[in-house]
Amino acid sequence: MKLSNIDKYIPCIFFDKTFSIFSMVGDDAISFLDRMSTNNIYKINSSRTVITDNKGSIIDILTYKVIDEKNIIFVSDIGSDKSIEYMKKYIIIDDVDITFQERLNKFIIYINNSDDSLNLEKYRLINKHEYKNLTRYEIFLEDNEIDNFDKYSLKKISIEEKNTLDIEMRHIKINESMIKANPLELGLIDIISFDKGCYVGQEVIARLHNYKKVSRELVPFYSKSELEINSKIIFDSKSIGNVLSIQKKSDGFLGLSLVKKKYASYYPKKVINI
Amino acid sequence: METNIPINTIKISEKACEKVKEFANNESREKFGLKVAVKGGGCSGLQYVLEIVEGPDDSDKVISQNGLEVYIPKKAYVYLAGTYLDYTDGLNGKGFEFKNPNAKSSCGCGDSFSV
Repeated sequence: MKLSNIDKYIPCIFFDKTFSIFSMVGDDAISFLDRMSTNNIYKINSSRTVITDNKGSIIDILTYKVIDEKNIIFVSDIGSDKSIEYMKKYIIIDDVDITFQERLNKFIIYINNSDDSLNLEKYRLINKHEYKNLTRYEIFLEDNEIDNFDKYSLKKISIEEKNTLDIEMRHIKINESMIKANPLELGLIDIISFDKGCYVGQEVIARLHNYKKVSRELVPFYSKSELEINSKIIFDSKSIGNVLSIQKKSDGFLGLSLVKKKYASYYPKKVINI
Repeated sequence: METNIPINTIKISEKACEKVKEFANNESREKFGLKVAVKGGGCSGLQYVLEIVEGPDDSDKVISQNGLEVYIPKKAYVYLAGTYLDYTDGLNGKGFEFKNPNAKSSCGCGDSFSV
């Protein structure tokens, strides 16, 4: 199912809002974040990592950068203190302190994978999401860095266009009220390490992956009627999933849903226009 | 197994104490104690820490059992109060084993727990 004519947007840029940047400082900073989240912080210096609870459900996703062996900077996807407080609860004997650093402007850039004209990796806090032939970057910039992008021919897009591209690229912005989901269901396998050892939630996530027991997957949908985030999707009188994102279009609503795998293949044909 | 551990202390079995002394002797340590703590991590959220150290830190609670000094960081104590630490060497494996009444669940290998 083709959701949008993406060629008319790419390459493009969207200014989101300002986000709080935090630092994690101390002798145990790297070890601590490695034990609390899915990615291998020792090996991968700059990426995203998922904070999960002991049942493997997502609490937050952090974009992080290891500055040195005692200092990591990061930004939280949900942008609230909830996950910061969650992590602080687990600082018991570790030499780690989490403090607010500054606020930076978040920009989202969408380009074709083959486009290497932008040298984005030089920015200090960045994450990357690839889907098919597209790459989505989130970059956090100081005010004086914003003008750096004027020289590139990046189309400035609206929030509606940005949401449409995110649906196209199967990208979910998580928030505090989102239904419980694990990172495998949201297609975040690239930021899960399966060989680094234990982290909170690892046992559940490893089992789901190794025994191929991931039961839901992200599926785009189109509906004539408006649906709310988290609302149930009913098929043959059964609840088969939930709405995770939605964007109004001229002739209906586009969105991403988290649907039981056994129904996912029927879904675009039979359930849309509910 | 010891079942009636007062909730304001932790208890180390005689066998566990002997094993700690054996490890310390193997390392030719003259002055030592056992640090028992928890830290964030492991599959279930909190994992146990056992370490042979020279002496307590300022914030450690010190308990003496079977001729062994045990040091417990005060911040970890709330998670460990009432715990029985044993050493087992049966057919199903050997090692130190925690019986922690504060643990609501633990991971498959038993190295971590949640409260």
